Formats: sequence, C-alpha cells, structure tokens
Amino acid sequence: MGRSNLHGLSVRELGLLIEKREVSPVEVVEAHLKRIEALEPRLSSFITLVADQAMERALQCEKEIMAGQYRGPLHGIPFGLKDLYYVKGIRNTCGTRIFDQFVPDFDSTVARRLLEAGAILMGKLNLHPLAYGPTGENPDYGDMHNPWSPDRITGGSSGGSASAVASGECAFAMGTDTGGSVRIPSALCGLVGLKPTYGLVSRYGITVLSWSQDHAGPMTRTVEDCALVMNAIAGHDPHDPASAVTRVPDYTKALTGKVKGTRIGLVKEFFEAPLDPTIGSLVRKAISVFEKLGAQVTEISWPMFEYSAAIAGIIQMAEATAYHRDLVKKHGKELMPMVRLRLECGFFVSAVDYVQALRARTLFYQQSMRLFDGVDFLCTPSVPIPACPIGTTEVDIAGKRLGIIAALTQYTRPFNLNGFPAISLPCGFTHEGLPVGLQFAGKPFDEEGVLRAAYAFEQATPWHERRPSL
Amino acid sequence: MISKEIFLSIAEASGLDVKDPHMEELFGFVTKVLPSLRVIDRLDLADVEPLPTFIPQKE
Repeated sequence: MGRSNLHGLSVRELGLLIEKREVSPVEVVEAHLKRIEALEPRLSSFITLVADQAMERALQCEKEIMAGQYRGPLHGIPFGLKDLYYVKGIRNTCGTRIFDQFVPDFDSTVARRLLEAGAILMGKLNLHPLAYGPTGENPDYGDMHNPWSPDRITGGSSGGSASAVASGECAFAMGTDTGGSVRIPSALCGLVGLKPTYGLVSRYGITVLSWSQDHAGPMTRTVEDCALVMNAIAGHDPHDPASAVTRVPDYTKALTGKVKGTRIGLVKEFFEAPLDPTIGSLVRKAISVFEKLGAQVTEISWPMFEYSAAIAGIIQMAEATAYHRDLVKKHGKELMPMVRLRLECGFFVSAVDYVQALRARTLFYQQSMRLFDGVDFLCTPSVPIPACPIGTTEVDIAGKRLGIIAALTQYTRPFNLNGFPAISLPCGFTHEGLPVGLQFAGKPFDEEGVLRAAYAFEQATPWHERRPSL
Repeated sequence: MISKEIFLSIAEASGLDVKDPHMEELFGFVTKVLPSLRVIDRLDLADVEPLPTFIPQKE
C-alpha cells in the first residue's frame, strides 16, 4: 500500500505502520486532511474541522513515538466525534445553529480517554439536529450524504460520523445511539457500528437525548478496529451515574474467528415485520454463513417486540422533552420542523404514561433476558431498507407504507430499550450497490461474544473490503 | 383521542404559545402520534414495578 492511500487503511493497519515508525502521524493526518478537503463539499460530514490543532497534535505524537513513548494502537490515529461530545475549547453545536457559539470548558469522558490513548481529533461531525432523528438530514449545517450514493441519506443521527469513516476522512468516529443512531448509519454506509451495553461506556459530557436510552459507541471499518476503540473507551466512570462497575477485558482477544457450537437465535417477529426482500435475502445468506462456520441456528419468538417501539417512544419523548423543555419553548421556531414537533409532542405524554412505559420496560427486559436461555446471540437485519433518497418521509416496504422514522428504527430500538449490546456490520450490497447491515445482539456485557461472532462473519465474507468510489 | 380544548390547555400549561398558527400542525401531530403509543395499554402490568434506575445486570 502506497502512502497516498493512508486514508484507506484501517485503524489496525495504520497503528502497525506508526508503531514500526514506517509512517509518521503527521503523514497520516496530512493524508486525511487532503481527503477531507477533496470530499467535504460533497459529503458535509464535518461541522467543525480542527485542522491546525490536528497537525499540532500529530507533531506532538511524532515526537513522543520517536522518543520511545508509544502509547498503543490508537496513537497517531485520526478520528472524529459526533458534535455532541464535549471537547474543551471546541464548540459543540449538537447540530443546531442555536448552539453555534457554545464552547464547553471540559472534555467528555470518551473524548478524554481517546485523547489520552493518543488518537488525534480531526473535528466535530455532523448529525441530525439534537440527535433526534434517524435520517442524517440537517437544515442548519447541510444534509449528510451517503458516500455510496451521495443523493441518498447516510442514516442518523450519527450521519456525519458514518460518512467520515466510510469515505476515509477519519479512521474511526464516535456516534451515539438512542434508537439506532450508531447502527442505522453504520448499516446504510457499510460500516461496523457497536452500541455497547448501557452503562459500559460513559455518557458524561455528551448532550442528552434520552437519559435511559442514550449510548455512546464506535463506528469503524472493521470489527477489529471496533474492538481497539472499545479497549480505550469502556469502563467505569464515576461522573456518569449509570456507569457500571464491571471488568473490561482486552476485546481484541475475543476475535478468534471461531463460532462453532454458538447458538444463534432468529427472532421470527423481526422477519414478519416489513422487510425489503433484497435485504431479507442477504440476511438469510449471512445466516447460512454462520451455519457453515458451525453455529446452530434456531428460530425463536419475542412476543414483546411489537410493543418495543411504543414503550421506547414514550420514554424517549418524555425524557427528551424534559431535557430540552426550555430550548423548545424559547427557540422552537429555529429548530428543524420535525425535531420541534417531536419535542413539543413530549409535553403531551403524561406522568402516568411515562411510568406505565417504565413498567412495560421491566417486562420487556425480563422477556429479553429469557430469550437468551436457549441462544447465545440474536441475529437480525439492522435496517429493513437500504439508504433512501434525501428528503424521503415515507417508504413502501413489501407493500406496507411506513413513516421513515418508524421504518429505520424498527430493528434497532429494542436494544436501546433493554440496554443489551448490539452491533451492525456489512453483510452484502443491493443491486444498486448500497450496503446492507446485519445486526448481532448479545446478553448484557457480552461485548466479547458479540465482537467474536461479528469478526467470524467478517473474516468469512468480503463485504468489509469494499470502498465507495468517490 | 385528545380534544382540541384539552390540547390547548396542556400546551398553555407547558409554556407553548397557543396563539401561534403552528399549534394546528402540532395538534395534528399529537393526535396522530399519541394514539399509536396506546398499544402498551394492552399489556398486563399488574405487580410490575418500574426499574428505579435502569442498569442492566450482568447475570
């Protein structure tokens, strides 16, 4: 691989070159800045680019490495943060001009951990305003564009994170996921996106959408990269009241490629829900790959799946409006119209509705745990449709008309509600060349198992090797 | 189904500008979205408590 292609390398590949001093972090950052300069007019991945800071930091990393102070596999690696992760001294817009001049005076825990690991921040990435929408459209900072077909959505809300990584503007990025906002854009842009178990990765310093359903997660081009980022960001944080006290392993050690004897559950209700036939076919082919690798595949039932959107929706509306109540009252007219409507609608969710939804969530959680009595993982499509044209508000899926929000989130939302880990990774392409995602979900805190299964599939298939022709 | 009168009463109590023409659009949105969430009324929640702090347990 020539040095002109540094933007096309994975985190692991770049890290090895940097560790062996075959490539300098300065060269790596320069290559990514060139990529950003060339592609940003078409993609709108970034809200704030910090090119000068990135170059300064690259020089510092180079000095450290030359002095024998190599910090590990993220040292010198360029990354981006969805623009709701606080970074001291860099504005945090949350995707709306209302916060155009807001500059935090402290780092989010995730940002701090990545910077301490030696990663180099390239900038803050575009998102659906306030992270309240799954398409990746933004009237204030420009719609995000899918690198595989720029007239189509990236998915959201972490759309800028997805387009930046898929296009080679960053080696990896962080997103957040309240109803699928890491996994949906990862699926639509051909990436690996992990929503970790609730409590495993700190939410401290990340703008809230729904306290009890917000998750921070990495978006990468390979499963191994995802494991490397998790090694840096997972673990207890006393600043986050929901942070779990749990052992954090070296996630890369789980990547054995072996799934023989693993029990995989196919939730029949997921396949009875509206599903594009091409995606259904690709997911079934993916499942057959697991069978060839020695996994046992069983059909199971999740009766409460049909309630998940309503339960999660009530909780999200109440929590989002509680958090943003002053904002929507003072600045409602400045918000993206659908974001404004969703926030205002939360005022009409009663306290009784909210508590009933929390009670229903208890049942949902209990039933979710029982699913794993007979299987180790659940395997599902990530999203029921491929990326649709920007501006789409409704879609027709196998003869059923659905709003775009309900359609995009139908498979991801259940795992925000129960908090279980879930990953999306590429499992093929449509005839139009659009990526399709496969979702794996596991028991709470079994990220190792989820990554192991995802890695085994990735190594048995060629999908992660494709790049968009930009 | 929420009536227009109750809708406006809640909107006003919530601090929204009920004289804004936008209220018509919001009323249409609320009357479309909230009934779709009533599906949870079908669940038997007797003896089910809300989780006071939602943190998944390892086992």
